[in-house]
Amino acid sequence: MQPDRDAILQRVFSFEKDINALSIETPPRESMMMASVQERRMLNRSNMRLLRLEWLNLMAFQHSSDLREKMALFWHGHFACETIFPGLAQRQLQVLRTYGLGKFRDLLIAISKDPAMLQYLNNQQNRKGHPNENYARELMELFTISRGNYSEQDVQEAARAFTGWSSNLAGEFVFRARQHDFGKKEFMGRSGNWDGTDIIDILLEQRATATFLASRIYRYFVHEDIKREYVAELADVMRRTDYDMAKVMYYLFTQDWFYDPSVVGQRIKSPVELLAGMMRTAHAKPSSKESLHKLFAGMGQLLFRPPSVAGWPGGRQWINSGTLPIRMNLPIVTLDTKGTLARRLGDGSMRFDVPLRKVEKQYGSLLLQELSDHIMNVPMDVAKVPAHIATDTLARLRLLMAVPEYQMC
Amino acid sequence: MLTDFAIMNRRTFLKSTSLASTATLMPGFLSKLHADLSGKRILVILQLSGGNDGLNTFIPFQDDLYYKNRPRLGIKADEVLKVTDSQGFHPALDGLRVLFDEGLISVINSVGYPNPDRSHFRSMDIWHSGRLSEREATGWLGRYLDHTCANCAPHSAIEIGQSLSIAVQGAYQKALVMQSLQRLSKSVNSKLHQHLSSQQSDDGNISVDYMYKTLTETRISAQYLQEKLAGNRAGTGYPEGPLGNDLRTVSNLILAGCETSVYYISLSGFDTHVNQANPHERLLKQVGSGLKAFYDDMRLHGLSRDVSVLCFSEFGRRVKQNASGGTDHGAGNNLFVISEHLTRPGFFNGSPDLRDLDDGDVRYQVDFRDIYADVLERWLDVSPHEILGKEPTPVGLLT
Repeated sequence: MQPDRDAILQRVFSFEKDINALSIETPPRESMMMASVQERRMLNRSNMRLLRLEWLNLMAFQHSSDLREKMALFWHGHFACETIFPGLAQRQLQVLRTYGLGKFRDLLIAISKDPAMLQYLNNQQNRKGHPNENYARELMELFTISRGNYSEQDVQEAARAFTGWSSNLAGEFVFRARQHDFGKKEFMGRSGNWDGTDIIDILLEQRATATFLASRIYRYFVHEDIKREYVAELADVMRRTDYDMAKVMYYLFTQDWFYDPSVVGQRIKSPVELLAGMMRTAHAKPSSKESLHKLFAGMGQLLFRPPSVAGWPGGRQWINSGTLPIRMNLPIVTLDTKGTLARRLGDGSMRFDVPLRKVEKQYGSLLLQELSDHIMNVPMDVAKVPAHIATDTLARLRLLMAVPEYQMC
Repeated sequence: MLTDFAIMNRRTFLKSTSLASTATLMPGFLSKLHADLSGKRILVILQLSGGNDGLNTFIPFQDDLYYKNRPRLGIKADEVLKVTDSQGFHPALDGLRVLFDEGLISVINSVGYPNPDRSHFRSMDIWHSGRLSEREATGWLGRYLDHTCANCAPHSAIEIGQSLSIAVQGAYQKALVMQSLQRLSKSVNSKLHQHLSSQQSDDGNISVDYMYKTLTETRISAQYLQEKLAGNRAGTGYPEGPLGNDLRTVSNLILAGCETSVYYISLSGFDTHVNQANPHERLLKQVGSGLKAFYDDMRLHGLSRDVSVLCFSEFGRRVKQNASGGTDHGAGNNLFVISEHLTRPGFFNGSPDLRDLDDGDVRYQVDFRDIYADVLERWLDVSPHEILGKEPTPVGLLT
């Protein structure tokens, strides 16, 4: 039965206009200042883990904002950033969720003013007369036009334009005029007293920005190996719509080539996607942020802790001798109401809460092959699995979710 | 097709050795199992995570600026294990000091890179990738594996840790990572894993095939390592704690003739912003006695000529102590190598210049990539330029 594509798109794009903020309470600065360094550290660590859990819950269960959370996850990889401060992380996440499906220009400016990003890329050290090029360089190399399309001088001039873009101790953007270089700058052949916003505008005028961004979107949503003609189409849509990301994504989801069998089911799910998908299918909720932390750390995707400024490479890099066993054992340790399987693998704390009756109601009457077809994104013959070891509905779900095929999307 | 090849190798294997294995699939690399290992070189990397305070590790006890900047934190001159008339070891490193006196250690001062990044995040990336601007998320040892291993076993390089470091990830090859062999084995030994492992994946989905291949290889490596560790030849001098355990594991594997050529282990806890003295001492004690026990094992079994150890940290700490009894992130740091092939045993260069600091931090004098280049060229016998780029030049540490 072919799903009604239009109806699905209708649902996906009618997300709530109100963007509910994540609800991690970060203690006021005053009380933080009173605590010892150790206490502050532990509190930060605890709240970061809580933030990751909250976002994962949104991804898994808030159906009204599926696309928004997915885009935010994409942007989080694109604008890779590390911070240990949950307040800053939450703020940045909110930026990604708020602007993620809006105009790319707004997102770029908001990220360029984001305290976590400015700190990560040392922009508070970027001062008139003492430039620090880190932010300017990543803005061009990783976020917009990408390598080969600018000169070292462009980086230096752009750095001058971002001088004074800083933050305060309360985690807010602050423009320090005294540190800003107001002078004339020569950037990508254009001359003027550019500031950061001007640099962003000039970068958006370059076709290379649209092409690069389009190729990133293609790689993330379609296939690792890009097809130039489709990337060019996406780039055209970007420039035509003034980089309106909702329109770009709608265009993407309405192209036949997006649904071509050669690109469906060819992507290895990221740890977050794997987990969120499992949670949604089994209606399962993690019981502790600590056990979740171990899973994310083991699988190599701790949000706000990317392996480098280039973010998470994805694809086959998700798979190695350490991560694959965890990914395959994931359903076995989490969807286990008695905890016996989890304990056998060494950790009983990983159990998720599963509403057994709901699971039974939804999947109980399906044959194994039907269940497989329902949850997999690649076809799989269930003769492949030792079906006899699964004696109830939840066990059948676990079995299917443990095979490599389940990890594709 | 794969099975035919495997059976042929299995027969050959069983014929030439008395070891009987129960693995169902045996790819070609296992025929190297009984290769003569003497003369094969092994590199062990010990990473001190968090930014080890090098100034309190190898102390410039003659430099009054050291004590001026560290009135409370400075190691008292009469406690320093003096090995030259200008630098000495932290008292907890007595084990290491013995090796130093035998000419087996080279300490390089003021190691770093231009435009030092004081952030944890970027600095470890830089040390792992071996490049100042990494983008492809590969590491120097990973690229070494890419370069030398067309079809190597995953356990050609082993990392003991919670997750695979960038350092040992290449574009194609990756080290085997495990927290312990016991956990590794348990994680791939369920009925389902056994069942799936014996399947052939041929749906034409490359990524799915890759996962099945990784599963099978991991199982085979785990079994191979299990057989090696069963020998349990390591000595008893290892300190208690995670580092002692890891070094003992590495020792056992080496002594059992494991074909691994690179081991990557780490010890964390060096980010001593607050009340540094005791934690740092405890950590250094583990490092010193652990490495001593390890080296003694190698020597006892006649393998010390073939094993070199590189111990580093991703940045040093500020010269001036802070107000919380600790030190903050710095820049230049020292590192050391244990080997029988040193050109200049002892201190490779002069003690850090505390007069000419880079905004309060030790200024780098030796680029860490030149040290990597040395290890790659002189120890691992590969051209460093393919792996690190054109710039780095071997620093002349090893013969």
